[in-house]
Amino acid sequence: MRWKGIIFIIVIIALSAAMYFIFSDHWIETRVEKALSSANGAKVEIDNFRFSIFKLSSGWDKIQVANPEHPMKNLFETGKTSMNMEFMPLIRQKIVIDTLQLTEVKTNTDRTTSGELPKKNQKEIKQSEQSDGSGLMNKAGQRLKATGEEYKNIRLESMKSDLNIDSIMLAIDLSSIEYIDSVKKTMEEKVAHWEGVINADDFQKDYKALESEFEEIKKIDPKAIKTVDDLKAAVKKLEKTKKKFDKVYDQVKQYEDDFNKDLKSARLAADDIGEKVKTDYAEIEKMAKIPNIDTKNLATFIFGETATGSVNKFFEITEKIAYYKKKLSSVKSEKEKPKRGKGQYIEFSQKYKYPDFWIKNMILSGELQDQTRLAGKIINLTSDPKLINQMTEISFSGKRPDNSEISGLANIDDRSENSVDTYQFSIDGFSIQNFSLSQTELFPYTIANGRGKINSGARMEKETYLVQLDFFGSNMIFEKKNDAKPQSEIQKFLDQSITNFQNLEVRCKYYDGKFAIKSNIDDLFSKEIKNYLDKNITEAKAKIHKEIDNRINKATHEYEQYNASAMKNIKDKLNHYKTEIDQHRKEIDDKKSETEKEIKKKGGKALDNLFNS
Amino acid sequence: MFFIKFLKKIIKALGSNASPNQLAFGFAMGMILGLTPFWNIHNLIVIFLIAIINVNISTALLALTIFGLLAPIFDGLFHVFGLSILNTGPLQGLFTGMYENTFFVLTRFNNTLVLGSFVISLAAFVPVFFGFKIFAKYYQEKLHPKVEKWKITKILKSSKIFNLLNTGYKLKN
Repeated sequence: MRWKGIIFIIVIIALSAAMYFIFSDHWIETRVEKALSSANGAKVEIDNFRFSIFKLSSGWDKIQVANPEHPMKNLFETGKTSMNMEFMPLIRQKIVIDTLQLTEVKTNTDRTTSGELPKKNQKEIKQSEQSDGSGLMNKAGQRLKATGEEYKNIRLESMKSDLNIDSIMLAIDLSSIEYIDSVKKTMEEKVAHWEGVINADDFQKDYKALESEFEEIKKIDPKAIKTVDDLKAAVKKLEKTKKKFDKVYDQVKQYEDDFNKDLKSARLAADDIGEKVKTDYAEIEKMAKIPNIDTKNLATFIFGETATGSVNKFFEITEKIAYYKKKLSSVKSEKEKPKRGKGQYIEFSQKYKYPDFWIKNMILSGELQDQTRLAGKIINLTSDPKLINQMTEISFSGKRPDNSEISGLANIDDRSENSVDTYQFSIDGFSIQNFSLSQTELFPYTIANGRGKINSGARMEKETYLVQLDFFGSNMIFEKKNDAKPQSEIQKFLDQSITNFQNLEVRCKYYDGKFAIKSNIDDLFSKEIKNYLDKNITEAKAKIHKEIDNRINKATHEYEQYNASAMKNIKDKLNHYKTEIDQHRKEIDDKKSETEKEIKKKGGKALDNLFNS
Repeated sequence: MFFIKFLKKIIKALGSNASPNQLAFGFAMGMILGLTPFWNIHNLIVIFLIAIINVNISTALLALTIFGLLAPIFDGLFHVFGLSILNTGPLQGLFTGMYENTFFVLTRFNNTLVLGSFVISLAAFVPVFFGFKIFAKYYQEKLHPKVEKWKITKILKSSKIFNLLNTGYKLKN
């Protein structure tokens, strides 16, 4: 036993303990700052970090989280923060925070120094972010943005001057004309086929041979035939020839039936021309930007751009939530491929199975940049929701400087593949003074006075998003915008009707890629706007329809003319054959009955001679 | 300076009258420190043992340096070995019991690298001990007189040069 050694160990332990109490906070602070900065993509700075291993608590005086896109701004900063950790997970390398209390949270604050990370770190973060990107929400957002742009482009007031029907008609090929051409071509092919069939060498040869045979039997004169046996032979010949004619008749009849079938199918194809014409009408109207004005989509024209912009903001927020969700869950995936020198931790019991990261309760209070006071909590923020089988719940409420109330709820559920995320958000009683609801020329008003309320909700399930956004305005007074264009007839009307309009409702819904807006302003505006626009639109539509009809009628007439002549030709030929064969058959029958009579006559004479002799 | 001091101590220790057992024991324990991840409870126990048991600290430091440099090369091997032990069917009951015990969790036994390197270093302990013991005996009897005659040893032992280097080092800092 070495006493010197024991003393050495005691000294080392004492020194380590002293070092721990003096330097551990700073050491942990540096490491936490580094880890959080890396996750955020910009500096995260902590002031006066405190950690107590005995109380298992920690906290800080201030934390600043820099905005990666604007390094001279903080995404948010907090005041005094405290948190309590659980011991059992901690010794298993897991961070489970029982309660995290963040106070004096402020968003979008200015920084004195840049929050940009050193270039080396930025490169690492960019590389790791390249594999991110849920994309789906982004796509939905992009689609919505495009819809908004579409609404923006429809300018009802200037529609008339934009409308140049002649140039549009020249620029496009009518699908109905193409269709008629194709039907005509099919018909031509069929006609050629039937002409080929009827004029086929074999058929003509056989028919001519039969005609010669008929000419032969026409020469038979029953009275000139002397014996009964010769007469019987003549009857047989007649029957044989008739059978041949029957066969040819059946063939011609079959041709006729088949031809009629072809004719019927060609007529059916021609019946679709009407549908094609409708498509052409719609296509040209779309090109000419002629909207179908009705009460259903008037609100879409007026509020479409503003509403899609608002719903798109929702997608931006959910995209960010998805990004941070992915960041949180990525902590877990690192485990599967151990880093060099770190090894892999194997878990043996469900009893102490914890997610890598779990904040059970996060209590927040603070202020937004516009001085809105907010307080809220986040429950079950974790890297592995499946393991704890809990969803993340976010709730907050607060007051804005104008005394309006703001509140929100979010349930982010990642427990299974079929989980559903839901969001609710509302602002009640906010001032809408100087607020512009629409950027369209159709609604050139700002609100001089009034209070607003917004209720919104969203539901996200796999790749299906349902977003609802309702706006209610009360006690509203509208005022004409200063830069509004000179008054037109329609605007004069709107000015009058808007004077008595105080309570506005706009309800927007985005579901499965489709966007719809309903508003009580529809009823107010639709009637007169329709009257005003209908006249212009009806004129434009009539012009287009007339032009299309002219072209189509010409093509249809040509087709029908061809049809009539080609059909008649074939029908005539078939009828000619039928009539001729019928006549021949009749003649054969006559000849046959004449021959049979002669047989009877000659047979009777022979019997008389036999009995009388 | 530390390296020269360290080298001087190693040569001195090997050439001293210290028993080969003490030298070999120190070396074998140093090997455990070198091969396994340093910040672990078992290493605290090994350090404690080195400090209180009459083993040679210089050879322990020599082994720590050598095996500490070699350990990263065998990182993959330790991980695979540790993983296979932790996945061994008959041991699951034992590991589950240990996992639910706070002390054993603190030892990080459920880490593939810690367990793999620890078991391998324990397995190597006896061969390394006897191997180094043979080397120490050979060194003391045959090699030491020759090493004493080497110029480098004389330079290292020369207090004049050592003092000169020491003064230079102090001035620099």
